[in-house]
Amino acid sequence: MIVSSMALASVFWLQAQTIAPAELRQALQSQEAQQTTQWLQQADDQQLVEQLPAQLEQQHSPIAREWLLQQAIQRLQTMPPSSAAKRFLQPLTDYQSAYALSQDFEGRPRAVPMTHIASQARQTLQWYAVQERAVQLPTTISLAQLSAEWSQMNSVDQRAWLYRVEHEQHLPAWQLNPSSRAQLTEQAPALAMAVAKRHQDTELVAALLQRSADADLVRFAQTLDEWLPAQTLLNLSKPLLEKNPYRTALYAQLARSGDVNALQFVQQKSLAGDDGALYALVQAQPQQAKNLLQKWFASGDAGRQKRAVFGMRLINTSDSEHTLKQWAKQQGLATSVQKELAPWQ
Amino acid sequence: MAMNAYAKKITVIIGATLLSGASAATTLTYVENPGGSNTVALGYPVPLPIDSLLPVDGFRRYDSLHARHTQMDTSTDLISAINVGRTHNNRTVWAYQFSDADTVTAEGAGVEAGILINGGIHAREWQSPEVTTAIMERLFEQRGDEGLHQYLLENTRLIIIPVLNVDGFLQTQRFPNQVMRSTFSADPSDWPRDGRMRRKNMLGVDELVSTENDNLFGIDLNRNNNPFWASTNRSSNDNRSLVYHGSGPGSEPETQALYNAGTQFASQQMRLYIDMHSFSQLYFISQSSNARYNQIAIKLGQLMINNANSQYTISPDAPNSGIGTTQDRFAATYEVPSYTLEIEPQNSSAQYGGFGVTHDGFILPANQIARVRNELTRATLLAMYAQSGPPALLQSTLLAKNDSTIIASNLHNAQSDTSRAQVLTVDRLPDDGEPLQVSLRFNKPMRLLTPQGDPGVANGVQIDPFPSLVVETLDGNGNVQRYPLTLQNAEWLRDSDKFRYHYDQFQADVVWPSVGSADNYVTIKLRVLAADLTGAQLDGNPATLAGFSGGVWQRYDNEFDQPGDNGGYDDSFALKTSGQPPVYNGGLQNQSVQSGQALNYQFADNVFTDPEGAALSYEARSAGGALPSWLQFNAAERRLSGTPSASGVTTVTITAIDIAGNRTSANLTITVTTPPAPPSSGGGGGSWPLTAMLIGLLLAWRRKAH
Repeated sequence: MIVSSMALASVFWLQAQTIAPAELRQALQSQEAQQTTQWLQQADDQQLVEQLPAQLEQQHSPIAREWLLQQAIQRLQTMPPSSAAKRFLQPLTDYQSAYALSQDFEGRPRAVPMTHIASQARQTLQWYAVQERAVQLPTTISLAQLSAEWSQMNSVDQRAWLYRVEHEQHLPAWQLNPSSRAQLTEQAPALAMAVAKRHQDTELVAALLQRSADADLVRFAQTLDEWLPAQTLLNLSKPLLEKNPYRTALYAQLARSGDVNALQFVQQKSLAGDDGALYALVQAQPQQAKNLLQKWFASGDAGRQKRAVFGMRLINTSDSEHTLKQWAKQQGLATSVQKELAPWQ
Repeated sequence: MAMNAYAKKITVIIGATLLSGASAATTLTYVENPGGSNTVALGYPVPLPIDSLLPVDGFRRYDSLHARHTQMDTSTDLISAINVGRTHNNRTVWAYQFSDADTVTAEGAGVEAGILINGGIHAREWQSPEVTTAIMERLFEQRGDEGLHQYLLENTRLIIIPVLNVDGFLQTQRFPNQVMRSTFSADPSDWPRDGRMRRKNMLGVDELVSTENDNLFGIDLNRNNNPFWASTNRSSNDNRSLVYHGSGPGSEPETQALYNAGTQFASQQMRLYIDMHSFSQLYFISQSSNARYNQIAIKLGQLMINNANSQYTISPDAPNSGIGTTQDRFAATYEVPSYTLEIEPQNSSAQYGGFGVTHDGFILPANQIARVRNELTRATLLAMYAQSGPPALLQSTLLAKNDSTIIASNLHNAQSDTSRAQVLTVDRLPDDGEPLQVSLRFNKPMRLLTPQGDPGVANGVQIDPFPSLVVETLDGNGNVQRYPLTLQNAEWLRDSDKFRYHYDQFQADVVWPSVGSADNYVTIKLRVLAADLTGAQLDGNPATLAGFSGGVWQRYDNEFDQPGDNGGYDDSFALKTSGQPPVYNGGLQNQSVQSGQALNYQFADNVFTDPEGAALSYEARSAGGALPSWLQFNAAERRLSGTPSASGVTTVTITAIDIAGNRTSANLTITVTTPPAPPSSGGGGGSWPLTAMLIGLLLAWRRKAH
């Protein structure tokens, strides 16, 4: 099998030739290509691995063959790691595509890659390595030791630990305490997120929400309501300071929760001048927010009226714009309020 | 415990065949790691829209972006929200103007450069609204920095549309990890089209991803524009096509909203247009038949890629060509440098360790966007700076070091949007070898304030760190001597020592050269050459205030006071001048010429005379600065020549300059008329060439007959 896949690779070890999109379409519409496409979707894992080289070396046009090779890798990704699959993929990791499309996605005349076989093969092998490593990881390591070693680990080991924490039933018997939480948060925040979710540990979540934001932490914070109840979210939200990067995301989850206490908290924060809270209220409960804003505007207090105008702008519908126009016509408004309403006069 | 709004539901549309019967439309789900049927593994977390009023590492929900824009608008008078139109689904398209309250530059009279930036025209290109918003945030956060950002706010007028295709953008955010893969015969393969991969607007499309029969519909707003609407096969008249151009140019309300934003500028104010897209990591640049315009646009594109990321490239379009994009439209209508910016990645997200599956370039990993925002904000603000106008020297001062008295100064005060008045004061000439301090004030910050607090320049700019100062003497025989000055304690000034902005004032100690007795010279000048932080050189003639129209700089002169796009030495600081200016004796004659015919006019050598009897040199310019492209002036022969191709009236100013630099000007007009219309054949169906041919045949017959 390794010979076959290497042979297949060598066929395409050429400088990329530019083809029109119609040529690819035509190649994919051949009966053989369609049959192979269908086979790639329907074959069971073992059948696929065993018969793949033969299938790809059938009477496909070179263009269709290269395309199907990419489809095959995508199917292999979804299968458990196997030595056969790895042998097939390995030679493809430095594969050079034989074809490029003559147009980009917008139809502009530029040569763009038709496939990304080499990167897909490399990433698939790495994904296999992650899965295989996950079952080899030690079962006795402490959280303190793991945290300490985290930054020195390679990315496969890190991903393997994350995979294991997320998916494997059997984990080391980790005890979370203030010390291990602090170490995790400081030294291995990615692992800390996985552990917090696995152990439903709100103290660890609270510690993570004090860290500066990166993409993983932002994502973590914005999906807390998938596994934490509203009351817990409310408790986590209360200590967050104004410039905390996760605060608006938590307020938005509170406002969406439907929990009365959570909603009341967000309302209070809104009135106190918290833009994020007002945003969250408007997004989650637009009608309720509108009623509240109407009350604020009717109060006659210039500060509240300005908050009402701001909130009504956030609703950003034709209905809210109509309200703003009505407010702008009102006589006797403070100058500062008139200024805010100027675009609707 | 609320479920995430983006439930990982996988819907398979069974038995649906759109066109050729080749395959059914299928709803696919993007996932991080491989697994499950009808999933597409990216190899990195699938970005979800974030609720945040801060620029976090990720892509913000449209409502968050709108809230952030509103928050900025309500926090300062420097930002104004403008309702420029509505979408198909009746949502407001918001534009935001960034500028101070007046309509002139900080000098008090110049035109503020108009800059239009459009974002989010293609729904799936989430990079774009993040970058447009980042530009807004940078200007907002740094609005009082007394440096580059404050300069831009006080000297340009930026209108930015962060999200034009609001309906489409919301559709992609409704389904951040779902797409419908469809078969359309004009696509190279089955492409994901609706949900996260919607590109077009929402005309004829519902807000469900599972509705199969409408997922290909909508109009490509970036093929909906004149002057090249439907003119090439790069757009399509098939409403299922990804590049469907719509029923007519500008047919879509979103397109109209963009045009409306363009009309917010006064006539000839706009100087730059950028439409932000993804992906491919390049700048497409419009080109015309005007070589100067093309050069300006390419140079500006190069400045942006140097300051964005070294992986970007520029891709100039063929001159006067287009495919119906907004870039084409603004280039043709406003004659400004016009770009389509395709934000990274270059080919796919394999660049960041992703699997590199088809279309994943539209799904930039969330951990990349903060860097991208920063890079492109810097690039765009520097382009704004470059288009704000060339650098000009507003004030030069010579101070005696021994007693701190000002011995001479040269000041240029803006009078109108095209001119400055010179105030030249010379108390005495410096002595040979006298220690002096030179102080120079410019109309813009000439250096960037780097994070280290030092003066810096844009990436890719290689210039001398300090201005070049040269003393120039001219004797009565026309002999010129130049004495470069050595600078000591040279410094770009900031903080309380600045003029208006950090680094808009320069100071250095010099020693006046040994030039001998001033009586030996008719002029003694201090010549200054300096380049701003983008490498643009000084306007050589600060008496005329530069502008931009017709795709090129106007009144941006070189050291010989000839208009162009590159500037040069400013030699207006004359410490000694002598003699009387030239005298105009009359005799310039207005000219009239038919379009298509050659003009050749030479004026006599006694039209201008020098009271001292010396030789004169000449220059010619039109009201806008440079002569029309069809008209040439040969100064040595005092001759105007050329062949016009269109009718019109041009006023030409002839300036005579004596050896001391004294100048006298006079005007003449050149009227270009349309050739007379050919005579009618009487029946209305003939033509002049046909009639002429018949007359010719008749005459030939008569000659033969006789």
